[in-house]
Parts: sequence; structure tokens; C-alpha cells
Amino acid sequence: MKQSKSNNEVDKNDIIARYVYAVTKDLPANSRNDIEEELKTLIYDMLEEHVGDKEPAKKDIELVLKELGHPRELSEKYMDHKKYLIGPQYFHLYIMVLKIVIFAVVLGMTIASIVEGFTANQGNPWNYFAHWIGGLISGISSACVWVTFIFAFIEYRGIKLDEITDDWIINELPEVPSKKASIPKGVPISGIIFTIFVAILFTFAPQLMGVIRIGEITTTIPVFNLVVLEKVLPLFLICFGLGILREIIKLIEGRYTTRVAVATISLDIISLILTIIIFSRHEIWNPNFVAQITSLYGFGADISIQSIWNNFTNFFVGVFALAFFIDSIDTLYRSYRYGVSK
Amino acid sequence: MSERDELLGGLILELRRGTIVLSVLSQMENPMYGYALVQNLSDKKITVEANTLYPLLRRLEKQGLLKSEWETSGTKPRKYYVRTQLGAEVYQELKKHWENIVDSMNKLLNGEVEMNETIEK
Repeated sequence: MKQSKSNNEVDKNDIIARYVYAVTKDLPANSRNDIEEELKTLIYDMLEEHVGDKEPAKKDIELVLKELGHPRELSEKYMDHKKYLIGPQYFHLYIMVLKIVIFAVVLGMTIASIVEGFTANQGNPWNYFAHWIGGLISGISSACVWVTFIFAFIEYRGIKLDEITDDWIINELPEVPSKKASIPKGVPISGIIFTIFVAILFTFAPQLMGVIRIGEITTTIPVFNLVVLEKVLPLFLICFGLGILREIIKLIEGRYTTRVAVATISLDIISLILTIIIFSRHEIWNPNFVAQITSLYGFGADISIQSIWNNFTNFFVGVFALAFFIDSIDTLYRSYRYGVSK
Repeated sequence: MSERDELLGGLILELRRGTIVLSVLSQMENPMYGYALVQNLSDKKITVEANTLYPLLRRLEKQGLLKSEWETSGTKPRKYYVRTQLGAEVYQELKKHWENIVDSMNKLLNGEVEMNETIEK
């Protein structure tokens, strides 16, 4: 008899202890103890109100705890603010970016696999199919992880992608932009897709960038020195990442503003510097390119091809720089002419 | 619960929610512990549940409107809250605002009754 009563006692205290633990376990450490004590006293107070002087039974305890509510709800009331992985403010943007990136990865992987399938000489077609599926799965997984990580970081640090503060003034609202100032969504989206596609190409199938002759034996002569390319790949990926960032900014702003211009130009400059660094070392180019071309197509050792090749590689950086320059001027011009100062 | 009841319930809750801080501050001139406050308010027909009140008291303390002290002399250890100087000042301000609001609301609500009467005539 005595035995069962003490078991019951332990049970009752255990229920209360479990409840209090459930409420307080995720609360900040410095107030946890205090809240625990307060809750326990509250529960006993409420029990006293229910049963008066006599011993509270298990069902009384359960009643009181139900009255207090689900421990998680009570816990949330004690917390300062709701915690989200990705908050409601930027969730739609997250979904949009996720869709774009996944679409681009799928498209890029698929095209790369198809081209590889055509240019390889032998091999079980099922291998390529498995390769493609495997590539898709790993590509999509990585993309999801990265996008989620970036947005979770933005939420964690409370970073504001656009400025919504309480003290906004009517005069600070931007003027209604003219149609010409707006950036149609398709532009940055296709930019992102294209960049991801190129990034995948560089990473997984760099040998495809070059001259491809499809015949009995399909030969590819890559433009790049593949060994060196592998080493500088991270720099390339950074460039592509910056390019994607630039397009995302255009996507968020929706029209040409000073901020878009500033971001575009600065990102372009960084990309340009990286590009110069990468391409200044001549080793990146395939040293045997000319030889392979001439042997493949059966020309004699023609000087003109060599000189074309030399000029091409030399001027490559120049062409790149020119493209960046034009892009920057264009963005600047649009922002100035049609744009909105923000 | 019908949809109408649910809707009404939610709106009533929102209406009440706005008055909780003022009601709490009004009772805290002298030290009181959480559950006593729950009973106190409920006696005066202001029902605030314990699971709302306790986190609220903590928040008000954080904001500097209340201060707390554990009383360990009795049979149970109890945390007593009381208004601070800042709390008293803020309370007076809030009280004035409340009285203004009540005034305006009465005019608003009674005005409608007057208008209805004239239309009926």
C-alpha cells in the first residue's frame, strides 16, 4: 500500500517536472531557472485553487496543466520573437530564387549530359542515363542547400534586402518609374540561368568548350588546358557567383536604380579583375590547340592559324574587359536617364 | 464553433488584448505575485489567463516598468512584482490616453445611435 502511494507521488511530481522542462528547455539559459521556479509555484497555486487543502490527484494536475496550455505555446510566449528559418518577409523571394536555380541546374545538367553522350565514342547508354540522373540529384541537392543556407543566414542576421523602416517619409517614395526604367523579370532570370549553365559546363564538361568534330570518331579539341583549368576553377566559380548575385539584385529592385548601377559596376569590376588574373597566365590555354586542329583537319602547319590563335588568346582579356565596360556604361546610362534615385 | 462565433471570438480577444498592459499596471502599485494578480483581475471581471500574464509580467520587467523580487520566507517561494518609478509615470500617461480614447469612442458609438434615431424618424 505504502509502496504504490509513493509511486503515485513520484508520478505526480514527474508530470509537473516534465511539463516545466518542456516549456523551459529552449528558453535562454539566463532566465530558464527563474521561469522554472515561477512556473512550479504557479502550478501549485493553481492546484491549491482547484482542490483546496486536500491532496491533488493526478487528474487535477492534468487539468491544471491543460489550462496552462501546450508547453510549446507557453514557451513561445516567453520567447522574445518568433524564430523562423526563413522569415515571411523574404520567403517568396527564396522560393523564386530556388525555382530559378533548380531550373537552371536541370537544364544545364541535361544539356551537358546530352552533348557528352553524343561526343563520347563508346559506352553503355544506360551509363549516361544513370550519370544524368545522378548529376541531376546531386546538382539539385547542392543548389537547394546553398540557396537555403544563404537565405537562412539573411534571416538569422536580420539583414534587410530592401529598406522598410518605420519612419518612411512620403517625399522619399521614389517617383513612378517610366516603363523604360523597369527591368523585365525575364532579363535577370535568363541571365542567372545562362550563368549557371556556363558554370556547370566549366565544372563538369570543360572539354566540350572547343572544336567538336562529329564523325566516325568524334573528337573534341578543348580550348582550355584542362589541368590548369581545374586548378583555377574556384576563381571561375566566384566570377559566376558574382554574376548571379548581380542578376539577383536586378531581380529584387525590378528597375534601374542607383543601387543597381553601383552593384552592377562593382561586381563587374571584381569579376574583371578575377578574369584578368585567370587569363593573364597563358597556361590556361590548351598548348596543343593549333597542333591538334591542324592534324585533325589536315592543314599544313599554317602560320595564319597560329597567329589567329595567339591573337585570340591575347585579346581575349581585352574583349572581356570591353564587354564589362559596355555593360557598365549601359547600366549607368539607364539608371541615370530613366532611373530612380534610391 | 460556428464561423460567426469564431470571428467574434477573435475580435473580442483583440479588443481585450489592447487593455491588458494598462489593467496590469493599474494593480501593481503594491507588490503582488503573479497568481494573485490573475485572481485579482478576474474578480474585477478582467479575465487574463495565467499563461498570458506570466510572460507579460516578465516582459514589463524587461522594459523597466516593473521590478521583481523572490520572497522565500513563506511556505512557497514566490516572485513578487511591483511598479517602478518609470512604471508609475508610464501608467499615469497611459491612463490619460485611455480616458481620452473612452471619451472619443463613446461619442463615436453614441453618435451612430443618434443618427439611426434620426433616420428612423
